[in-house]
Amino acid sequence: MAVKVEAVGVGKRYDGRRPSDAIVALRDFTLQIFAGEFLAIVGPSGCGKSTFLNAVAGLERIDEGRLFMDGVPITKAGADRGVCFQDFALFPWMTVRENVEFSLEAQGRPRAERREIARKYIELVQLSRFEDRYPYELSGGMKQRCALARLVAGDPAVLLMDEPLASVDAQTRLILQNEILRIWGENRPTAQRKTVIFVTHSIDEAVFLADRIAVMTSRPGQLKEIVVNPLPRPREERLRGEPTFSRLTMDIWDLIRDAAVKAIET
Amino acid sequence: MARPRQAATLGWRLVLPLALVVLWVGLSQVLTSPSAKMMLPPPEAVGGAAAQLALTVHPLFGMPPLLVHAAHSLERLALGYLAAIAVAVPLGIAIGYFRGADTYVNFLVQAMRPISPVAWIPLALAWFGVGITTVVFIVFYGAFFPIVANTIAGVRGTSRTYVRAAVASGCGQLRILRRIILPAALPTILTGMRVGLGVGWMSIVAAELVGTQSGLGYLISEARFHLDIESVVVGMLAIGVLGVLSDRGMRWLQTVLVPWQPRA
Repeated sequence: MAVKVEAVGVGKRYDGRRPSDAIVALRDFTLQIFAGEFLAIVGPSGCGKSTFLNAVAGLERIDEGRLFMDGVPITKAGADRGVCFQDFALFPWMTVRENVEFSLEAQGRPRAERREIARKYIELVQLSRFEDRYPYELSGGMKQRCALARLVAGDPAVLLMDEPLASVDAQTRLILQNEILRIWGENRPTAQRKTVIFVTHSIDEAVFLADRIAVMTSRPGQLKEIVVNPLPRPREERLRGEPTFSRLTMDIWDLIRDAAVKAIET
Repeated sequence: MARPRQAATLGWRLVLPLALVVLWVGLSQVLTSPSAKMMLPPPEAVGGAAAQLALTVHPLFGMPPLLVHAAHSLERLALGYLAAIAVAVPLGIAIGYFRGADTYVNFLVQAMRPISPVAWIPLALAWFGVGITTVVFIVFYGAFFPIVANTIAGVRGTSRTYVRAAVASGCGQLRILRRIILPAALPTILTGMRVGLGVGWMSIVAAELVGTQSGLGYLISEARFHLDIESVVVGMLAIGVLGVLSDRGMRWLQTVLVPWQPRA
């Protein structure tokens, strides 16, 4: 399988007011993500998961190591990567359609083409009836579906998702997990799937969605272990009740627990 | 659903002004000496003056004087106010957006802000003489600072998340300014414009008191000169009414230009 995104010895430090305030978010972080793969990153709070995602997005510079996409060093943001933020980050002054069209607009595509593509993705997330509504008129789940449509409308090769379901309720969350798999292209052959890096603090979410789960240590974030998910695709709801599902969830929790407890205490 | 509630709130809004009128009527029944009438003219006298000013055609203007003065004031207000918007909004965006502009201009803006428009009247008279230009300049100056200050605040206050989301889409600087920062700042800019309009009204009356031969400020000053205190009050009431109407207009503009905010 082709390597899509590669991090080699990546380090990131945030300088504080004084030298003693400096925070090392990532240290010697090495990871390969394959083309068409759904990779989840889990780890205790503050372990640098989001920092890594932002670095791949080109929104933050790294201090050490190297970061590649398709073998080319990542230096800035680009339309080949799409980001889905935790708090949706829908533009309040744009309707659903304008939000979905935005990445196409940024690419300078003509209006008619934008509209057609946007319509397709709005339909995909079942928001057709709401395409002229503003975000404040939408429920949390609808906002997230709009954000998903915006994410994929620009047709990026790599989807970067930073806890995209953290702010929706538990039931909506389960529904949207299936939605994410559908948008990713679970039903297509691997070669036609997009590459996903999915940051989450929810272990069962990672187990339900991902092909592999990268488990990180607490700060400074390093790769602790990569867990390969044996669950078959397409992922069906009943898998959530399978012994394999709960065992895997438990195994990953075992890897994180001590660090997670410490993260709460400090 | 909305209509009766709106009617009810309108009713409530009128309670306080009506109470003041009642108080006014009551006081004028008690204070009947000539000197007291100079301090608080009775309502019926003011009403008479208002009818006189608003309904009788002035031989010189061919129109009722109140309308002529109000029209002149509105014209100057519009000129000074629109000029203030045309300069303050782009300047505020530049100061808010570009670090360089900030260092050079912000200090000057902050230093000039506390100087009241009224303080500029002597200089303005020396520069432009008695006439419309002086008044327009004073209105411009008064409206300028609230608009520029709010525009800066609006641009600065744009959430980083939106800018990051736009950058992540591969969006260029100019498009970020046009599609993200401007709309994000628009509600704050409009608030500044609303405040600026209020200051504009205050400035125009001050400027017309000395700077021209017409306008509501001139009407007040002229009436005072003739000890016509009733007409002074008519002038004040006219400004109040026009101020409320123009503020209503601004609020309407807000709902039209910012349809994406939930109505309060």
